[in-house]
Amino acid sequence: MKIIENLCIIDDDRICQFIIKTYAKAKALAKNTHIFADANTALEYLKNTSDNVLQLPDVIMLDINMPIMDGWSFLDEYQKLRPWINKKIPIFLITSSIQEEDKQKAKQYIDVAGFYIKPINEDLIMDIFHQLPN
Amino acid sequence: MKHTKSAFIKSVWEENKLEALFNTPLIGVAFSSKQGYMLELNQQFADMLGYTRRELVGSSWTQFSAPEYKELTISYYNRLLNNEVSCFTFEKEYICKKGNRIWVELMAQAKRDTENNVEYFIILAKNINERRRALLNLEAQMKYSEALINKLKYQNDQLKEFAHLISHNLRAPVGSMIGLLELYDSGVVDNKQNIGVFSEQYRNLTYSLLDTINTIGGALDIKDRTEVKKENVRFSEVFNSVLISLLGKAKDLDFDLTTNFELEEITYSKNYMKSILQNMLSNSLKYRSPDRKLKVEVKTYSNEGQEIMVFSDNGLGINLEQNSRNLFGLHKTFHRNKDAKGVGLFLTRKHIEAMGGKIFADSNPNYGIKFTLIFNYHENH
Repeated sequence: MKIIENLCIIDDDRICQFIIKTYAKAKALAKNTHIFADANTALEYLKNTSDNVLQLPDVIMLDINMPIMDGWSFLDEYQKLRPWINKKIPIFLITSSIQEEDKQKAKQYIDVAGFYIKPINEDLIMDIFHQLPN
Repeated sequence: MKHTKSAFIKSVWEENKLEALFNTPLIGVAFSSKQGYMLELNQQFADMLGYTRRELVGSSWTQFSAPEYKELTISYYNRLLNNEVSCFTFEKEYICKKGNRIWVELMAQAKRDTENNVEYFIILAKNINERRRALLNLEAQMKYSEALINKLKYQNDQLKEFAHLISHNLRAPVGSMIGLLELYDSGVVDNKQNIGVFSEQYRNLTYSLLDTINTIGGALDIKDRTEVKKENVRFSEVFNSVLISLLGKAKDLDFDLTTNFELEEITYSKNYMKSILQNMLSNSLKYRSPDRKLKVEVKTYSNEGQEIMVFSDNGLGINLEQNSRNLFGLHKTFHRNKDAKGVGLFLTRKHIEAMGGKIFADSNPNYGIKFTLIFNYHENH
């Protein structure tokens, strides 16, 4: 498993940010970690770095239930933006939702590479990183 | 001879037929004069009403017809008299000798002479009491079922929402707590500073979880409209009491307030109305724009039977394109405002829906927000 350059976390929950960040650091999984508490800011970042392969995330961990803009809205906006983004970025949904309809809905987005249910633990994080292309 | 005999037999046969028809217990038969007096009637007609035939012959139809059908009945007979129709049929109630009522289906026809003047009326009356009663029962049952279905639908929606609340609002903090514990157990949190952050986060989570549980408990306490006490609620009165409770006794408001209660009062729960107005107003006060003086406008009116309130302000507003699907959910906050707990709009919606209403929002971050509340939405849809 190679070390990725940029890990992107989009989650309004500070604790989830903290947990992912701590594991990533302890296991040396990513060189840089970008944390966005709201999806709008993350979208802005992606727009601004759309042709900069070095700065674009290698993976996005996305929460669904967020204020201002939720994970679904982010995915809708991201789909529109994707043609201009110079990199294939796998998006992993990490949610506290145990509702089946959310899982089904996730399948409709081709950008979604995986669907995980919180709590976030070491196995969950490692499982995501094992799926990344080498 | 032969001919005469056969004519005689034929006339006897005719007579027998007529007599058989007149004496049938299948239907009440009566003849009435142009003025409405009973000339002759059969046993079945008398039995239906509990009179003897002798008691009814010579009496007016008004003796046994239920009084509230008098005008309707006269209008039908006038049409026969005026030759507008050749016969009619309608349903009404008769009053029996004992005073009880029965439903009958009436058929009447005018018998005319060669000059086309009405000689008398032929009336057939069928007792349809059982059928009518069954129909009324069925109608009552259907009404009851419909009310039951609506109630179940409402409760089903409540359950769905509750499932969503459990999944998101309760499961999320518990998930975070477990996440933190597993992180702690995994041994990757080692230094003192990290442990400090860790325990503070754990504390905050626990308190916010309790907060959420209390809010959900409060929402579950909102009873539906069939169980809540309704009274006449004057908008101006409730609004003023809400103003005072929110702003204290300060006489000068630091914002512009326009109220126009064209619809002065409605039948509603006073407590719910208070809670709705309180949440709406405190939202306006909380999310005012730093760039302009706050203006709040509240108006009520009725339109095509709908009781409507429009509550608008020129505050921060909300980007509805991104938020429309969960504006009224629990803990959906749309501002990076510290007080924003996302409880206000959630509870407002719960109160309004519990009373059979609906709330809509229209907003633009540059101009503010406008809420339209239709208090009796479901009575009309």
